[in-house]
Amino acid sequence: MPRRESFPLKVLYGYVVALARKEPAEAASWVRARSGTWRHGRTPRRVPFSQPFWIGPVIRFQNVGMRYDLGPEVLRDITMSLPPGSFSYLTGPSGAGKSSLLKLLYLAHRPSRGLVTMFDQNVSTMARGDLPELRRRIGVVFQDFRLITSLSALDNVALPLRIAGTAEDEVRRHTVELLSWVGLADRLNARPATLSGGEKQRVAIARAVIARPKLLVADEPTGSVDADLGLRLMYLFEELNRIGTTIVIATHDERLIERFEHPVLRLKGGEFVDLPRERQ
Amino acid sequence: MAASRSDLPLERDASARVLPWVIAVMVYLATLALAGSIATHGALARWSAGLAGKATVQIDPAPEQEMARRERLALEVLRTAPGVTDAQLMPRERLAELLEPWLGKGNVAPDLPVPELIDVSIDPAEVDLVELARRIEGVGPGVRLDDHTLWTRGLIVGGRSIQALALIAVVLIGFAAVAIVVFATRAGFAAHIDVIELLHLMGAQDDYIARQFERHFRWLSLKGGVLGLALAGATLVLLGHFARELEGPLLPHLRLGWGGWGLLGALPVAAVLVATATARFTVMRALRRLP
Repeated sequence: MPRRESFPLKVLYGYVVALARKEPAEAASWVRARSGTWRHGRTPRRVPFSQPFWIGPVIRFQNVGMRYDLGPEVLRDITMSLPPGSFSYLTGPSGAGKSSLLKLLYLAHRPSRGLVTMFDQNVSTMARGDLPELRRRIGVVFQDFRLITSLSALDNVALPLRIAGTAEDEVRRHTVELLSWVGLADRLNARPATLSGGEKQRVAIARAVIARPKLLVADEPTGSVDADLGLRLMYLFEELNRIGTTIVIATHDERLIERFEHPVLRLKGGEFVDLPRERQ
Repeated sequence: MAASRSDLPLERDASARVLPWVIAVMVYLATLALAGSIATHGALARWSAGLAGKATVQIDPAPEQEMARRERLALEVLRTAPGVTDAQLMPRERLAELLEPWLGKGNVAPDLPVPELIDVSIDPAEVDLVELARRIEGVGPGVRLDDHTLWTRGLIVGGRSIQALALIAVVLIGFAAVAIVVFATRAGFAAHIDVIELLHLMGAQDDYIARQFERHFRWLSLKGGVLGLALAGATLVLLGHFARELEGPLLPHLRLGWGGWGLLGALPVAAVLVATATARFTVMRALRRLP
């Protein structure tokens, strides 16, 4: 990994550590101080992380429809476009198609019709064998974390690197580093069952970001944790967004949406109710 | 390397406990069947080589003069018959030797009435055994031609059937093993579908997931195969030991030879290859259902 890329991650680590100590304000200032240095770095080679290296939106849906097998369409005529570095909410009542849309976003499903473009590549017609490469650019925080119970915290976080075929000594180094930064240095070999809710969440987030995803998708991240943890999680997502990651959060928590203002994609009955303004 | 470790907790599955034993039993049965087939093949080769081109004329005991006359006549017939290359009267000492296993050494009384035997070599292509038998029987009562064909034909047909059955058994055991590994793999796949989906979503190629199943089933079938072969080897050694003790007329012919043992040693290897390939094929097929 080039040296200059590791800085944003360290910013994130420090932030998470501060969060672990329950000092969100201090954490934010810590990050602000450092990302400032980084963004306006003295050496011209330091390309701002927020600028993407591909042209066009991260995600573009054009008249996308989706159904499970031969069932009814759960999504209809979805058209949207998420620019790089954007932060969006996805909301709507239960059964509106939030989870289905998320599945399209993290490539767990392909559309039944319409065109889905991710990272300038047409997902709808892409060969099945080419999808894994794309999936590695997407980090997912699942509602129930989905940690593998038989693996230690270290091995859980290492998964995306191992899948990508990273050399084992690098895997170990990065994983230990990230887990230490999120304050789990002494829990490296702990099984998920022995971790507290907050610790599990930190492991899940570490796993989602260890491979430096360009797109981070979170499904009801505040749904199964207490209000305090949920809040800290949101701060973290904002910081990740600030360093250039495109973020989509599915939630039905309206207070959350009011508190952290970002464009909202509102689903109802499988369709968008009021189309979000395009940010370009 | 990532390849040497497993993300799926397959070693805790029921298959990890049961499958080695199932494979062991299958390798055991297949080894015994194959050993039977190999031994029968060897025995058949020796029997046919020993018996083809041979016949015997037997002259039942009779008063001495009559006996001599029948001998002379029979030899006369044999010498003039087409396709008979040689005919030798078996000496009395050789007859006594042949009787020793039954009567004991030195217990054959010189005046014991025993049949005379004429050892006949024939050319199977030219001889007319039916005509020859008719003419030999014409020499006198109690004179018979034994051309062994009844024996050899029966033995060869019987032996070939045993061989065929043994090979069919080996093939069937192979099919059963494939079916069991398919079921075990599917069970493992279903049990860990959550983790598999997770790996899939993180961008794991099908090969990454299939390799973990392959490694699991390779190890299980190797354990089972080695155990099965060891048990079968012990059984065969014991069988051979008893066969030698009994000194039965047929069993000593059942020898395996180095080639035979080598072939048996290849069975666990085959079991490992079949189990691994089956697991891989099953997983790759199941993974194709994921998007």
